[in-house]
Amino acid sequence: MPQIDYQRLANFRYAILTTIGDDGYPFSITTNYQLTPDKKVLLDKPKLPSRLDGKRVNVLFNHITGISTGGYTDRRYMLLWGTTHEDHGRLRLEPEKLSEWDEKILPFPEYCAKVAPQGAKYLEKLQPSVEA
Amino acid sequence: MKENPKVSMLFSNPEGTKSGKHVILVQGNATTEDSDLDHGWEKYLSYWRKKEPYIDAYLAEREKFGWFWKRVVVQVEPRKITAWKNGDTSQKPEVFGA
Repeated sequence: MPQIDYQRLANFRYAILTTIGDDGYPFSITTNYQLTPDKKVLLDKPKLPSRLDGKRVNVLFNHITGISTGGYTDRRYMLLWGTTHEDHGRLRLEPEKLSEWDEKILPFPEYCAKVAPQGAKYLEKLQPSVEA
Repeated sequence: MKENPKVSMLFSNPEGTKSGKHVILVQGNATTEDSDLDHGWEKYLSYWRKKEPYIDAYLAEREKFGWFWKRVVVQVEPRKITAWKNGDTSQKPEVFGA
C-alpha cells in the first residue's frame, strides 16, 4: 500500500481511469471520484463495454492552469496503479503503487534533475543504435 | 513503445488541450523517432509554436536547458477515435474508425 496524501488527493476536479481494452489498446476515460473518511477511493462507474471488477488499472488525478501570457502553472498529478472492485454501484480502487509530482513541492527544474537518471538509463540503452 | 506500439491519448482538460468541454480518446499505433534527440524534432517546431507561441523564448536560451531540448518524436497513426460530447462520459460516445 503506497503512502498517499489524501488531503492533496482530494484537491482534483476529476479522475482519469485507464485500463487495457480487449483489443490490447489502452482505454482512458474521465470520471468523478470521492474519498471516504476511511480512506477509500471510490470512482463513478463509467460506461464501458468491458467489466472493471478485478481489473488492473491506473487512475490519474491531474491539474494544470494556463497562464494568459503563455505557459502553465500549478502543475500537479498523482497517478495510482491498482485494481478496481465493484462496491455498491461504484468502483473502489485498491491502490498498489503511486507516482506523483507537484511543482509547488518540487519545482520543475528540480523535478527534471530528480528523474534525470531514468532518462540517462534510456539514453545509454539508445546509444548502441545511434552509433550503429 | 518500440516493444508495444499500441497507445492512446486522452484529450480531456480544456486548460491543456483546447478541446473545449469535449473528451476525446485517440487510440492508435505509435512509431518513435529517436535517432537524433537534439534535432530530430525541429521539423515539427512550427506546430509547437502554433500551440505554444512563447516557446521561442525558451528556444533562444536553448543552451541553458539542454535536457529540455532532447526530444523523442512519437507519431501516432489513429486507429479509433472515441468522443464524448460536452465531456459527459455517462453517455454513449461517438466512435470513429475500427
